[in-house]
Amino acid sequence: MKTAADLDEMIAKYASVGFTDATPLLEAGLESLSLLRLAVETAADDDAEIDATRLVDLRTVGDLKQWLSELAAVGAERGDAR
Amino acid sequence: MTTTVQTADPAAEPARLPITESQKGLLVVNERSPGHAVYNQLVRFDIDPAIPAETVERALATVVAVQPAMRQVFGMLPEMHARLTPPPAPDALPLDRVTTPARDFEEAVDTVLRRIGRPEFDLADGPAYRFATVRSLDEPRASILMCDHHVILDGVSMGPLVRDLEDALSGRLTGDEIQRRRIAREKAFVKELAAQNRSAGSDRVAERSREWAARLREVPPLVLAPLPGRPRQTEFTGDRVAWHLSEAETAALAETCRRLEISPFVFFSGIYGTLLARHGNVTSVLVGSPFMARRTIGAFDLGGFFVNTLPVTVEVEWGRTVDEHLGKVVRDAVDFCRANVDVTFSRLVADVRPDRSSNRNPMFSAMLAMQDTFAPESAGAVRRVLEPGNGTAKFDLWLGATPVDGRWLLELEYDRQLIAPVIADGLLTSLRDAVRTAVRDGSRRLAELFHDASTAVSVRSDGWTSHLPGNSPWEWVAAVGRRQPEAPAIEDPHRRLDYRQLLIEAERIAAGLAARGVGARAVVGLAATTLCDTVTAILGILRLGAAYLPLEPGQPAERLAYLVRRAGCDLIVGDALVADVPAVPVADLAASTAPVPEPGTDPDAPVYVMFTSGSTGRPKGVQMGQRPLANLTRWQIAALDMDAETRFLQYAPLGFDVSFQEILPTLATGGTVVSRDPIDRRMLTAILTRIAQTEVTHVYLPATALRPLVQAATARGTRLPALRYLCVSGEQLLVDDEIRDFFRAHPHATLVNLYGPTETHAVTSYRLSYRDPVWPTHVPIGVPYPRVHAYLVDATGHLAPPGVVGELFLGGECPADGYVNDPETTAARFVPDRFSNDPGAVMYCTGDLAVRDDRGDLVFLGRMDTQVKVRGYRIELGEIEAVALQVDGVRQAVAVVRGAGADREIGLFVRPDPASTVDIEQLRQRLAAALPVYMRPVWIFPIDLIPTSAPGKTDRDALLRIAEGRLAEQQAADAAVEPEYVDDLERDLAMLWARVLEVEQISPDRPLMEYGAHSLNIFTTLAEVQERYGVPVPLAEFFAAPTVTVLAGLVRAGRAPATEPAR
Repeated sequence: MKTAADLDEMIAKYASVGFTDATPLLEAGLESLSLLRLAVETAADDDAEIDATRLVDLRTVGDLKQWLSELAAVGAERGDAR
Repeated sequence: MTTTVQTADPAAEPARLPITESQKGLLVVNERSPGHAVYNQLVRFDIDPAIPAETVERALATVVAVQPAMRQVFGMLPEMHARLTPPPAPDALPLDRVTTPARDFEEAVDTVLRRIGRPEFDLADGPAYRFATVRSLDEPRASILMCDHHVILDGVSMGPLVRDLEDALSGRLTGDEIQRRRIAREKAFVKELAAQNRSAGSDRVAERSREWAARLREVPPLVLAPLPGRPRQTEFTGDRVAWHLSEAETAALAETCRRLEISPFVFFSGIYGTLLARHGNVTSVLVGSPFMARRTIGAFDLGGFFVNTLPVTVEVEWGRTVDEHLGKVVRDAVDFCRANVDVTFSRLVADVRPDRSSNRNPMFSAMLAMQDTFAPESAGAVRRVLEPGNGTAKFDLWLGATPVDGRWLLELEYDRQLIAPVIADGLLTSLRDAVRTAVRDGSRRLAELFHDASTAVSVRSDGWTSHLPGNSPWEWVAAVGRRQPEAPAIEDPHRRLDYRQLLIEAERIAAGLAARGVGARAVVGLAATTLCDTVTAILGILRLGAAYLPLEPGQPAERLAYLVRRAGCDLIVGDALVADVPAVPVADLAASTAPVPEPGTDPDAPVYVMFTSGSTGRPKGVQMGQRPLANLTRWQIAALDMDAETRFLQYAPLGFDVSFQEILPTLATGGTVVSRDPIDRRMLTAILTRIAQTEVTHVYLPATALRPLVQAATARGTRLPALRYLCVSGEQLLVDDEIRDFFRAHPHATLVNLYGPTETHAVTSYRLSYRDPVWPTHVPIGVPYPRVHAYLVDATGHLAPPGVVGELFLGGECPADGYVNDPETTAARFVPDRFSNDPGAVMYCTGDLAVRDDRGDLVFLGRMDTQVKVRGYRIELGEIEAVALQVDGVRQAVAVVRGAGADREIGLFVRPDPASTVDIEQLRQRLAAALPVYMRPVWIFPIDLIPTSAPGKTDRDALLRIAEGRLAEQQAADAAVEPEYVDDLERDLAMLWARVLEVEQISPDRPLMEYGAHSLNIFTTLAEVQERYGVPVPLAEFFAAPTVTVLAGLVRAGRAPATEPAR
């Protein structure tokens, strides 16, 4: 299970500027491809699925962290594709 | 999902894999474009040249081994599927090795790209890729080139592929790691395919697809460069033009994206959409784009075709700011697609049900591809990744955005058959202007993103001009009179006038008019009968500096009275056509003994007032001055090679401005104006004979009369050896082989297509003769003559680049003075010329839509409003509707035009007031009293509800469909009842008409117009009647009630020896 600090550290690798949870993703320089790279890094299992239609709802770094945590949790608990 | 990939046993048949919906769609379109290699894509990897060639080749084999997508082959049965082939042995890799001197490096790369890019792939046997390496001998440079079929790799694949290549080139991917990766990737590949297939089938997705499809159907088709003759099927040949942004521009773009919180994809979608809206003359466009649709985490290390290409709907409101457009409208539109990325393209196409008759993409003609999934590092083994074109075009227009060396490279790939290179350059200019303006100032309106295209194109002319003594037609003719007084000036069946006689008579008429109080700038009605009388009267009027107002006897009295009143005309020369306005015969004026007044000297004196149809229900009187007409005459004399030998047929009604061109330029050069009398204008076979007999050199016809004339000449073998110029205007000229053959058989004759509204007279021309290898079916209207400015203004208010539809505004020395006694309409249509440096300059807004082709010729496309042309007559449908509304019980009236060419006819739908009915007979009488014959509807139908299209506009197409149905019903009802004829004559005549009009039978009392008769076929048929029965048919009486019964009566009267033939 990743902590919020772990997530911040991972996100910082892709962000082009400093950010807080309230920073809009695009302002932090995080585009959809970076989000997916982050998802790949976070997910506990390669078989985990991403619902791409949800990406559109991710507006801020906070949204992203929430989504990544869920992804990590689902992969860890179920270890299988939905 | 139970499929497993057989990798251990090479002898076993590899398992069938269920491919994605997108792959299926691509395989289908691939099948529809055989032989074109449209879906071959090229990638160029510039690599560290220090890496040995063997390492590079091994690395390529490794990439293929660890990327199962590369090893796909495809089968169609029992259902579309893929299989994975085993990794190739390194020496079996399809690889082309090229070495070259450094100075030829780029050329060698281009040559190799062409070589590996063009051959089609065998998708059933594979491989669906091939490589080449290019190395320089003398300088360290090396590139890997790859060509693959799109069905195995999408744009997002480039990231995983380059990462693997990077690892393999730098020695991080060797030995057991290759096998480990290969097994993991094959497993992930199978899982991703399974996930894709699972998500595509849900009900929720199906419903969203249907809703989306309903909205997509509302978007008008995007047609770039809508030139006539645009092929429906394409050969997919393409070319590219490119613009590499500067570092500063790239930084400003990034800053704009940050400020608006949008991605570069939203930015480019918004700008590209705006560009397409300008060039396609629409306000809503679909931009196709690949959306990332990988579903499993493991798939992000995979190449494959997992994208979903979806249409982003870009709504363009020209008054909106850039910030609102990009930051709100386009962002929302892109987000909508992202939220619906699980709706597959093929499902959406199935729900939209677009027209599939073309082999182009069924949903969108423009594509945007972001090629930014991989950003190489300069220190790595792979230094740069480019995706060059392969000489094909999948779309009408494709925009690729690729970060190259830290700057955006924008490339437009265009279909060569649809978009000429100069038009592509215009698109690139618009793209550059729009990007630069958008990143500089987000408060700009969208229309302000663009600039005017070259003004030089607007003022370009054909260069023909000649010398004239002054602006006044009187001076021109007087000069000829001094030079060649005895040369023939006018020929009509009653008289011939030489120049001396013509001028003397005109002077006397001027004296007679002056004695009756006519002075400079007065408007004098003209209703003379013969050509000699008409021309002498015109010259007499013009000598005074007054203007003539042509009045034609066939018009309804109500209309004639209106024209005279509106023009402020107090005197008519010729027949007394209007009660209350005095008329004086030409002979009386010519007998005047009053002193001859001095010629007028005002260079801006008016020449004529001619009325055209007006949408408000009343015709508008155009007052035309000397200057524009002098400019026209200078051009015409040169362009039509006119001199003392010229014999110009006077064919046009005097109320048509064309009559000026027939008469005055001919007299200005000392030629002869030849009357068409006694032949009726519409009897083209007889006109042909008259042309041959009178040996005229110049003929000017309505465009619709050209074909019947040529057909008659061909049928009769008539040769016109004297003919030099055959001019046409009035409607879109369409030519075919028959017309072309006529001009081949008459190599001395040139066909000239002229264009110009009454408000400017003729302003542009295009000519064709036996010399021209290509005769465009839809003939362009060409280029203007000198000192005429033809501005094509597009939807953004700017001068349109080539290939962009715009409204034609006409400036320079051609606009008329305006509408007589109508300052309001004049101010609306004759506006300040904002493109001119001359502060007082005026331009006329034609309401005509046109486009410039790649050679700079103007091509007429139609009207912005409901003005139509029927057999050369300019008609505002609104004028007919306005008259209909005057009848009791009519709540709404909509006029429509049905049919094409000479068979065009006007019909009218009327919606009655609630609880009321419309007396159709009364309505017919009202229309007949107010409108000339050519404006009267052929059929009238009552209707309960006028259909409207989405934005509440009257749907005339739907009305036409209703009309087709009602007319068919009417015809069926007629056919069911055996008509009763009083005698064999009636029966024979009815049969004759039924044959001409291609109908089953004809009721003796129904107007023949209702069966499709019109002036041209009436006249040919009456000629036949005349021949068969040996009696002339009085036209006026027949037209008063054009039925078989009336015709039979006229024939009987003509046969009866004691009866005076009707006149």
